[in-house]
Amino acid sequence: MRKEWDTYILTKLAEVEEDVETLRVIRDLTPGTHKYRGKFVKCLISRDPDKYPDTLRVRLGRGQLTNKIWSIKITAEVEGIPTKPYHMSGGISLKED
Amino acid sequence: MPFKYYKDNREFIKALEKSGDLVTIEQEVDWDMELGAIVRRACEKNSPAPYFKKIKDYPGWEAFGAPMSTWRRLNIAMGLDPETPINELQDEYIRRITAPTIKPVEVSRENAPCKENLLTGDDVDLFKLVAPMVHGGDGGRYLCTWHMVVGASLKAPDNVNWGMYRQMVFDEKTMCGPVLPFSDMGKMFYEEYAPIDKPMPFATVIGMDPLSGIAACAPAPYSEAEYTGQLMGEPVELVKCETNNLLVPAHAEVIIEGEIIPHVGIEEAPFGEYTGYRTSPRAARTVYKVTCITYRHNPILTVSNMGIPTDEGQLLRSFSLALEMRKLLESQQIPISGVYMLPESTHHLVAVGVRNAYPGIAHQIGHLVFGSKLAPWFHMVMVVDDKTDIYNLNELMHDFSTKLHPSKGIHIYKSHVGTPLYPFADPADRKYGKGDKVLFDCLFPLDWPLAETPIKVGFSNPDIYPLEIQEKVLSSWKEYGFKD
Ligand SMILES: Cc1cc2nc3c(=O)[nH]c(=O)nc-3n(C[C@H](O)[C@H](O)[C@H](O)COP(=O)(O)O)c2cc1C
Repeated sequence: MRKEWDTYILTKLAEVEEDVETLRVIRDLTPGTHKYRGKFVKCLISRDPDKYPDTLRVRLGRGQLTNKIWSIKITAEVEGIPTKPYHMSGGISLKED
Repeated sequence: MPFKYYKDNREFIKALEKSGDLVTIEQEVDWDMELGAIVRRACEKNSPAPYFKKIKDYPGWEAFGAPMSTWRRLNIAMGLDPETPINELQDEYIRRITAPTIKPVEVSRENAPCKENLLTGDDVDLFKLVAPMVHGGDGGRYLCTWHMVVGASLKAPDNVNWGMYRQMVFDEKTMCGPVLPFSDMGKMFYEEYAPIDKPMPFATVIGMDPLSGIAACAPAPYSEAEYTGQLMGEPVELVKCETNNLLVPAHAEVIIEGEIIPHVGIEEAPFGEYTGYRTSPRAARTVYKVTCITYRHNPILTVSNMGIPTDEGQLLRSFSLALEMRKLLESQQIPISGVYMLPESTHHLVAVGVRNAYPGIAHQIGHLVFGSKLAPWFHMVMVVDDKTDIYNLNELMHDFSTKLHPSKGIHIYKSHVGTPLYPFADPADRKYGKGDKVLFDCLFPLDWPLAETPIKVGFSNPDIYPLEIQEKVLSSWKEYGFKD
C-alpha cells in the first residue's frame, strides 16, 4: 500500500536534490488519530511520482500546498532528535558522512 | 471577599450558555480543520462561543472554542454584567490587581478533578488527546492554543511562571513550539537551564478556569498564581504534579507534564498567528518531552483560533498590555485620561489620551511605553488629547486624519525590539526579531497661539454649544421625536 507523506520545503523548489539520502521531517497523512504525526527520517526523494514507494506532497514555508506530487523512499527511521543540524527545508546531504 | 467567578471552565460554559454567549454543537465535527473553521468563523462574526460535544475519532472528548474572544465573554469571566463598558471593566480589573496579592493554596489529589485519569510510561500518547488541525497548512496539530505552561526558575524555585506559549504535537511523546527569548519562560530556560545543559521541568495546563487563563496571558510582573488570586478575590487552588514539583490549577481539564530539552530543536510552524497571518517560518523550536498526562473525565479541550480579528489573544492581550501601560504611565504621574489598545489592530496600536500639559508629552509617553518590557508586542502609539473618547474608533480616526501632521507629528524609533511575527517586517528583521516603532502625536502643539488653534466642532464641546443648550437638547431628545 502506498503511504502518503508531506514535507515543508523552505528553499527554492528547484534546489531540492533528488536521489540523494537526506535527513528530514515528514508528516504522516494516513487518516485517523495519528494523522500529521511528525517523523525524522533518512530518505530519497524524486520529482517522479512513481519512482519511490510512497507519495510525498510538498508544502512551502508558509504552509502553501503546491500541486507537486513527488515520491519518497524512507531508508531509515531516526530515533530521538538528531543533534546535528538537520535540513529544515530541503534535506542536508548525508553524502559526507 | 471573593468576587463572583467561575472555578472551572465547566461553570464558565454554563454561565455563557445562560447569557446566550454559547452555541452547543451536538453533531459530530472533524478535528481535522472543520472544528477550526467553525471557531474561526465565530471569531470573525463575533458569534457565541462554539461548544463541541462530539468529535470524530475522539469519543468522550469535547472542545470549547473561542472562550474569550468578545468583551461580553471577558466581562462574564470577570463576574460582571456582560454589557459593562470597556473603561469600567478596565477600572474594575485595575482595582483587583492593585489590591494586595493572594497566595495560592495547595489541595490534595482527591480534591483535584484534573487527576481523575492518569497516563504514564508507555501509555503516554499525545494522539489520545483531541489535538485539532486548527488551520489548513499549519505545521502540525496544535494541542495547546488556549492553555498555559508552568515553569520555575532554577536559581529561585519560588519564582514560578505561567505563560501561554503555543505547542504543536510532533509525535506521541513530543511537542514543540516557540518560546521567545524575552518572555518570562524564555529567560528562565535560555538563561538558567540551557547554559548548564539541564532539562527544565514543565507542566502544560489545558482548560484552566477563565481567570487563570487571563493571568497566564497577561504581562504580569509577579507570580501569575497570585495575580489570579487577586482577580478571584481568594486563593486559586493548585495541586502538585505527578512527576515534578510544579503546582497546577486543580480544576483544569488536562495536565501534560515533562521536560523542556536544551540544545535541540524540532521544526514547528507555520501557524495562523495573532497578527492574522501565517508569518513566522517553519523553524527549529523548543522541544517538550512528555512523561505524564492527567485529565478529567470527559475532558474539554479549549481551542483558540488565531487569525483576522477578533480572537481572545488579540482581545485579552490588548486589554492587559494597555492596563500595564496605564499603570506605568500613572506611576510616572503623566496626566493620562486612559489607555486603550485596539484588539482590531492585533495589539499593534495603542491609543493614549492625555491632558496636553507641556510640550513633548507625547514623546515622553512614546519613550516610556516603547522602553518597557511590553514593547516587543506593539509598534504604534497614538497620543490624543483627553477630550477624545479613546474607545470610540470614529473619534480616533478623526483625530488621526486631522490632527496628525504628516511629517512633524510622526516620529520613528529605529532598531527597536520586535518579534518574528511582524507581517510588515522584511525577512531579515523578522529573523532577528527587530522592529521599528512609530509615535503618532495627535496633539496640537502648545506653542500655537490660542487664536490660531482649531476648535473641534462637536455637540459636547462647550466652546461650540454651552452646557445649558446641551442639557436642554439631551433632555428633550425623545420629545423632538428621536427614538435613539
Ligand atoms: C493564544 C496565545 C498564544 C501565544 N503563544 C505564544 C508563543 O507561542 N510564544 C511566546 O513566546 N508567546 C506567546 N504568547 C504570548 C505570551 O503568552 C505572553 O507574552 C504572556 O504574557 C506570557 O507571559 P510572560 O510575560 O510570562 O512570558 C501567546 C499569547 C496568546 C494569548
